[in-house]
Amino acid sequence: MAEEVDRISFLPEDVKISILSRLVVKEAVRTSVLARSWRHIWTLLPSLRLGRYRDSLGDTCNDFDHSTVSSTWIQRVNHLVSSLQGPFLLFELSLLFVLDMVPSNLLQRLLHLLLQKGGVQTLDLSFSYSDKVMPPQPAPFFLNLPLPVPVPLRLHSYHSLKVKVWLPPFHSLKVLQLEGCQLVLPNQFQGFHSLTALSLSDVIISNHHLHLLLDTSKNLTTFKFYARNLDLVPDLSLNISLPLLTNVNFEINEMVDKICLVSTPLLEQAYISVGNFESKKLAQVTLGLLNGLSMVSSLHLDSHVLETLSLHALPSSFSFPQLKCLTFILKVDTLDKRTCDVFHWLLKSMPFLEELHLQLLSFSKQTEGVATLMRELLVKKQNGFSCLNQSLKRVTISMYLLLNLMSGLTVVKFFLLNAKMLKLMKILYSDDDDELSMIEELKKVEVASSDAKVVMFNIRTEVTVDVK
Amino acid sequence: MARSSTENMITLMSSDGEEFMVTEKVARECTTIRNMLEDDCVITNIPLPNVTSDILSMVIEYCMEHVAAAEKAAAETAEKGSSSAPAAAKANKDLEEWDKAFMNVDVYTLCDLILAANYLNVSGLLDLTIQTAANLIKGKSPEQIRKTFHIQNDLSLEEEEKIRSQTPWAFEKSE
Repeated sequence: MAEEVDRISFLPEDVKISILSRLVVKEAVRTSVLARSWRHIWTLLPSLRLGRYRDSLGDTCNDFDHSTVSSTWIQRVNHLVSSLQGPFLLFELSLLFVLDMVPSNLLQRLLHLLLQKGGVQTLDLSFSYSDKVMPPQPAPFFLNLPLPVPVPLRLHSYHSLKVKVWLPPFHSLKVLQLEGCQLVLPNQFQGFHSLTALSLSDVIISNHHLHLLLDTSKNLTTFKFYARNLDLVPDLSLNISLPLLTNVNFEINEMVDKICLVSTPLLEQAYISVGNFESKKLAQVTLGLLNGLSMVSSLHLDSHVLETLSLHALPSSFSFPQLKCLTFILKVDTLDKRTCDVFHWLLKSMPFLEELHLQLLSFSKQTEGVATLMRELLVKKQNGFSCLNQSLKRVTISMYLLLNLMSGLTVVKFFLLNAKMLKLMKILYSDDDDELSMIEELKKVEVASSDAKVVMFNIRTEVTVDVK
Repeated sequence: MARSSTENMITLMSSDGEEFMVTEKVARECTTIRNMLEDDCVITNIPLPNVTSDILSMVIEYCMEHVAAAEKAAAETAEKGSSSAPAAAKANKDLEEWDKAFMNVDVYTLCDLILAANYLNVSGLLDLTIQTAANLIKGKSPEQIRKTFHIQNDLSLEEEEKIRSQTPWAFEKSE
């Protein structure tokens, strides 16, 4: 009978390796006892992902993780790495350390072992710390953003970033991601010449080493820098000149004014967040940064930009001539005349904007902020909102974090009434109580563009309602 | 599936001599065939000595379904100017359901499909079949895996003990 024949053992070796690479390490190693032909297949695995990560199906795996990472644990990983034949394409380690149990020297040995095996193209080390195991944080409120969303901070204090990573010279390194550690570069650092993506998230690094890393990585296309506390790089002063850089992703509380994009001619996408919504300390967005962003085609900003920019300092001639897509998280509670002026200035400086994603956010039911915004926008639309007349085609207004839906509706109406080229207005909401009255209201609006489609999308039930 | 009369037809011949007429677009889903067509564009008859007719008909079924889904999505985007996210999500979900039903096969067929997908280089099908095989291994003991795939254990008890003792942590009961 055909069904009784062993076929899987006779598949080509590379196919068997791909099957094993979709298993957690323990399960892959267990296949060594299936039969003689399976004995060494697992040692050919080209990548190793340990700790918590998302697998190819998007499920969270917890492989080789332990709530109290100990020396024996690291030794076990060392043994695992030495058993594998290499070269490694990918090495990913994501661990939760309980404070005072960080075996940095053992980790160092592990990295050198990886260096010997050779070939590492992606290195991803992510550490978080706790005095006890904490429950997972709720997902952040940005849901539909074009760029990756920042992970909630799991640190108690930056002084507890105890893992020191002395990075050996991995010559073929293409992707380097580090989180929650101290980074020290090797002596006589020659640079990672193949590096295309660098992500540093809550990493303590000296300004000198950060400059060295960026200056020697001329092939870098993506740079992500999350530093939510000034202690991390106390002497930060960053002038970025990277000829191939296309994406930047900064979440830089307090010290964004120390960063200047000096020469990044190919920059296309920028995600800038200058403070989380709980933090009182805000960074200053400077013209040095804005000027560097002026040629991007896609930009993400949030309300804090409005609060830190001062209209007096803004040149009226400034513009984003290439900008096609803007995502803006607008916290409506804090809007006043001054911040509305800055918002107006921003929209005015984007004459060719085609796509606007406006996420409205409020922590109270009061509607004054939106009313001020609408008043200011209406007054000012006469003098220069060229994108409303010539380019704005798609507008998404997200209201699911807005307590007063009807106030959000006035923003929707503004764009329906004034965007002459509008093709699609999409309204995202989650509460269906006001749904019918919203539709009624929307039906009354005289839409400026004749072929505009208006849809409402309930993010909770995933139901789309066609309004017009 | 809408088929324009100008579309080139290709004949694929299985190892047991059966002929399958497919559109060039469907055939191009197989990277191996696409490369042949690009090297020699007048080729219309391709023998595939490594693939039996029953497996080849399944590979073609998979390619046709995925080409049709891609064409449908492209048509909708062209019609509406931009694709609506919920409709695209639903189409993706439907295709995933189809894939899942398509993978309801015995392990013997599954392994043959892996071999064919690997040889013809159909990346989507290779990914799907390999994931399915991995799912059949997940969460099973070595004994259960052997039973699932009819693997003959040719290791002696002593040999197996020795291998287990080299990585004892892999065989601990999961915590």
